[in-house]
Amino acid sequence: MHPPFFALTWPAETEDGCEPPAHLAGPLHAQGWTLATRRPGLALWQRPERPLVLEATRDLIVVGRWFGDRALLRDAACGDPEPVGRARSLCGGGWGAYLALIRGEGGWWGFRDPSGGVEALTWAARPYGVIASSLADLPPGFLPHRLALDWAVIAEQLRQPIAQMAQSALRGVCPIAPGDLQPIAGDAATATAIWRPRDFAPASAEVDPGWPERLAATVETVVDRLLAPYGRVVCEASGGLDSSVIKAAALRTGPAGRLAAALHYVGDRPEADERAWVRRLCEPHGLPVAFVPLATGPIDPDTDFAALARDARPPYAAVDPDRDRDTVRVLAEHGAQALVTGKGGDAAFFQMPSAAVLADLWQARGVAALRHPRHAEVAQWTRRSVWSLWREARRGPPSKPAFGMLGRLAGPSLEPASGQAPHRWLDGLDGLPPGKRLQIEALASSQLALGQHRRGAVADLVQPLLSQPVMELCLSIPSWELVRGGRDRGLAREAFASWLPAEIVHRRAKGNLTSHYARRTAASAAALRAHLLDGVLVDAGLLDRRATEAALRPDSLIWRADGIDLIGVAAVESWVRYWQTRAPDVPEAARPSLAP
Amino acid sequence: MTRRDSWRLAGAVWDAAWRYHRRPLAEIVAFARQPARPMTGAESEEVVRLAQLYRAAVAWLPLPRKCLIRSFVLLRFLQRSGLGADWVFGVRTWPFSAHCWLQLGDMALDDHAERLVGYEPIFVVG
Repeated sequence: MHPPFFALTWPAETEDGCEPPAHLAGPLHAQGWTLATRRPGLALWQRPERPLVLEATRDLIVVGRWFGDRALLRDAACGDPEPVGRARSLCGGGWGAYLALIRGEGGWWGFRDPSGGVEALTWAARPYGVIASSLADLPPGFLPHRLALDWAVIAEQLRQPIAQMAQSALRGVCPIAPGDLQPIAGDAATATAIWRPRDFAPASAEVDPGWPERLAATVETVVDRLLAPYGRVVCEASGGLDSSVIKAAALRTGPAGRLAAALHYVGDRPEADERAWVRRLCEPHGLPVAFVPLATGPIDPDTDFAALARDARPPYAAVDPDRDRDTVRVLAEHGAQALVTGKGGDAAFFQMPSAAVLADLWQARGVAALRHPRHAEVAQWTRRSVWSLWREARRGPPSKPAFGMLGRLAGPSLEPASGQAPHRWLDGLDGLPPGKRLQIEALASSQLALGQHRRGAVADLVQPLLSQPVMELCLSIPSWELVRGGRDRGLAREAFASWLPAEIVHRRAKGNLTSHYARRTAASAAALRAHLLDGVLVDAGLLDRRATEAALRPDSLIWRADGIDLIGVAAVESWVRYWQTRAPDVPEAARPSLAP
Repeated sequence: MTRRDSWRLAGAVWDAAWRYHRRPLAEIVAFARQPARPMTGAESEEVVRLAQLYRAAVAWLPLPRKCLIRSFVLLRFLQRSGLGADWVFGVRTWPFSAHCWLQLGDMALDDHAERLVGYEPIFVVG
């Protein structure tokens, strides 16, 4: 996670209106914030223990790292001085993990880069506007003046957790979605879409033989640029393809010793033990590996989630609190300033076994597609017959469950999903082939890892496979080419074959942690029962008490794979409990009454 | 795939139609059970060759994705070729799942060993 920041804007009539209002600066300083920079109508504060990386001109402040032609940062270099033009210029002429604060005629705007590398929440605290990375650690009075709890959004986030990236259940606080430009203190309705994944979908069915080389070169460049600022980095190493690619890229590009260690979580069942793969990857390079056993004890929602529930979203990225704490410990032991992961590779490289890739092939090639070898290859991959794949490709995938993730746990007051896109990236996808839609949904879902967690408080989280250049390239490749040979991530395996041991490149299965999380939920059943059965979600009728009680019985958990979902619901419960005592309900979306 | 292989595979699919569908598991297993006999090196190689042929052909067979019928058809294909293999049934918990596959010695014929390590074999036909 990026270092925290807090910026205040106010109407500045003149160019010398740079001085932040003293009555606001004082409490911020008392709370440990220091002024990082100021401009007419804007002041930006940082935490001294984690200073911000900034580039600034008169009308532009880039918080975080932007890689591109430096000339584009100059105010005069952009043909269109208005925020939309400047954001397009930054996004089209470079990339990175950044938030751009742009001054326009009507005030300051925020543009969040497509990777979502810097969190951005905005709200109005009249007469001021605020943009900040978090609601936590702010002095009293700095939160939105009309903060309220929106139960319709809470319900939507229970059905589809991805919805939290687009909308906070705290009315008055508006997250800026990755790729959006938004006026500071404005809501999502005032946002302008600068970058959308759909814009990079392939325009033709032509095959470019250079794709594997370009993918390898892009990943190498991205990893090199993103890790360059750090002296010591810890790399997550699961033993799978994505994290192995990142580790290999980091070793190829950086100075010796920058990669301080690999971090591997060890499952306690044979199917989750991937130590041999990780050793095979790391030992030849002399890279030390921190093997950390995955905790098997109970989760205590009261202590594990409460501290992280004070922000704009439930702490979904910390549903394994022990793993989160262990990562903090390993980062500290190795003096690392960043944790680099292979998160997003499943979406970018296309790991989803689906008939949708054949539907894409048909849409692009018509009848000629019937001769394509991918039909039999995908059938082998998905362990289905070509005929059943054709049936699904023609009819489309089965419709999504009405209550989404909550499924059988849905309470009497939970309405079925409205059919509205839960994330701003998923608007306007109707014209795209189904495989590309699936890829975009997976990329959007990957952003759940950007939420609140403990590891983000001690180091920057670097996710190169969710960077703008990697996403753009992978989106531009047809889905059936991404699964070359009927292998998930087939094109990526080809691209990185020379970087990795053959056993990793050709690995068919990946270590499975489903069992671990099912048993973890069972070990936590007593605490989860106490937390959920008499909790606010049951009280509001969003969660069914009897179904939740049944789902938490060990003889149910031993049968089902969705144990982790119950821990996710517990994280939402903790979040609602914290905020319900600090914010009233939105009148038109108040806590639903219990059904009779 | 030779013409003889094709006929034998068609016969195995025929067996599935007449000896698998709507039959209890005990009856299916009883039909597929054949006396075990040691296999020569050449026979083992032939088993591997036929399993590879099957892997390529099964995509075009109108079979559901259930492991039980897919393993049954491969086993019958091998048996109709005068060969055989162990039909292994395994289970796992957290979450519960049952699976079956064919094995020649310690080599899985119709699945990947990495996928199978989570299963505890409880029953072997062979």
